[in-house]
Amino acid sequence: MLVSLHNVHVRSRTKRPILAGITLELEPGAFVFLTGPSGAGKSSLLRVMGLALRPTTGSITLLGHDVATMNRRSLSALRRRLGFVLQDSRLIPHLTAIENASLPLWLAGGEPEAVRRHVTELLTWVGLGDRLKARPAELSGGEQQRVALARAIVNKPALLLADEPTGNVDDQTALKLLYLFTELNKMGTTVVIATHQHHLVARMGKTTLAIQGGVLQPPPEGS
Amino acid sequence: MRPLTLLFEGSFRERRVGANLVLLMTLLIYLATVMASLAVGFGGIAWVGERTIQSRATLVIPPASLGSDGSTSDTLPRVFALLKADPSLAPPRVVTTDESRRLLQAWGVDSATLADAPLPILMDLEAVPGARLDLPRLKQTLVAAKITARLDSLADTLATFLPLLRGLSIAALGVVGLVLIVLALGIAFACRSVLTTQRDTLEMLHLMGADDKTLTRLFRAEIRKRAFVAAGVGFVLAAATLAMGAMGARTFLDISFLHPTQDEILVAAGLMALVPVLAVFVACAAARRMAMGQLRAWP
Ligand SMILES: Nc1ncnc2c1ncn2[C@@H]1O[C@H](COP(=O)(O)OP(=O)(O)O)[C@@H](O)[C@H]1O
Ligand SMILES: [Mg+2]
Repeated sequence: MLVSLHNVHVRSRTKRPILAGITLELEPGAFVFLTGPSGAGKSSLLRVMGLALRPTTGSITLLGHDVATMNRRSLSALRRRLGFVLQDSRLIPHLTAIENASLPLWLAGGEPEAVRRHVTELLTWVGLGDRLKARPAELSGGEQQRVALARAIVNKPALLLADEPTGNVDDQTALKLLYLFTELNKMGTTVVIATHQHHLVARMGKTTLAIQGGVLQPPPEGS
Repeated sequence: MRPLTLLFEGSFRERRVGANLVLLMTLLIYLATVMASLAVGFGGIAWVGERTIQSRATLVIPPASLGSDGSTSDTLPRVFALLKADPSLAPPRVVTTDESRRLLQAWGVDSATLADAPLPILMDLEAVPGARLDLPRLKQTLVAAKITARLDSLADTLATFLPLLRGLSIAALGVVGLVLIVLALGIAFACRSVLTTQRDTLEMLHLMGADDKTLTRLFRAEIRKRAFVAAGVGFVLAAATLAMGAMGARTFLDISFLHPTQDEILVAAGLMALVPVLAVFVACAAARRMAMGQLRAWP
């Protein structure tokens, strides 16, 4: 299993349950939509899987590592094998598209020329070959998300987590973006996308996990 | 393509945080350096004074004991013979009449009085290096030889000043400490504000697997860059201020018979130059601490 969560609970500081007993397994190469209304716990579950939120109780095994036994340093190292896309692209405003997308490789100490070549190729693949030097403010919402996607996959992650990646763009742009995710999945990346946009999920025909009140819902009859 | 070191560059440009930080650090480093120089100056004078008291004295032979005609007396040769016999003394130096006049003038005796009065003969006595003057014994020797002369030790005049100088030195040192604390607090607050406004970016970097050490190093580099600028400017300004005060200090040292050695002056200058370096260190440490603290908030 690539991801394995067992009876994961997350409680807020005021002891309110945010995730209540999530048990979940993802095989390598899976493509899963995580759906549910606002406040259902989608982001929290994604953050638990992305090592950005420590569960109050429960166990997580990620890429073969029992997360509970890992120190800060090795957690950072493990995070470098994951990709994260958020609703707001969180690009650094004073860096260009190519610089933003290069960040994870720079942080990992990549050789500058190799990084430049690789990132140029990647940005071309997401359709931004002619916007390499543009700053985030000069890019549309959809373009910004494509830079964010390029940044998330620049490390060739085994697991790509996206939290409402299409939340800020129109449906046309959203579908194009989702298409990129399916392409990546075909190349072997495991993808989990959290979204409340059911109409988009319906058009993709992929596995869907529904969450409500911090609890995973059983799949509907006949699916 | 620009290196990773520019990651936080923009955060410090926003709302001119970086420029204001340089200004703040320059002012504080200037203040700390000037105060440290005062501490070193006062402390140094006390130090040299202490040393001088123990090794120097002036033998005053009043005009009366030289004989009224001024030629027949054998007092002077006898005094020389006595002093030479003392192994703890360097060869004594007779202060010329001109020199005596100048010194007395510097101490405020008016020139009319000086012109009329017969001047005593002054002799500078100095212990050989490493030795102390034993004034009571010297006095006894003079009395035994029936020579009427007075031994003026600097101790009498200087000794009263030394505790005051030491007190001022410690007070100035205290101010240096306070200024450095203010510097650390100022940097810490500024860093916290930058880190708070950059929370989303930092979280993203954290998610990318940037470890605390790397991010802290990059963040601290921004502070260090600015601290170096501030240290340079602050030091130059302080040195310029002190150069003006140095003239006065020199005159004071001259008329007080205080002569710091070359080594002592070098040590004092070194201590003064150490302050900006220390300030850079403090600023970086404060930035590092604050960044580490904020990053630790993430799992
Ligand atoms: N840091 C937090 N502290 C307290 N409550 C939180 C925190 N993050 C999320 N929550 C709460 O947890 C619940 C689930 O939130 P979230 O995972 O963001 O849901 P979703 O992404 O499905 O909208 C919500 O009720 C939200 O208010
Ligand atoms: Mg959410």
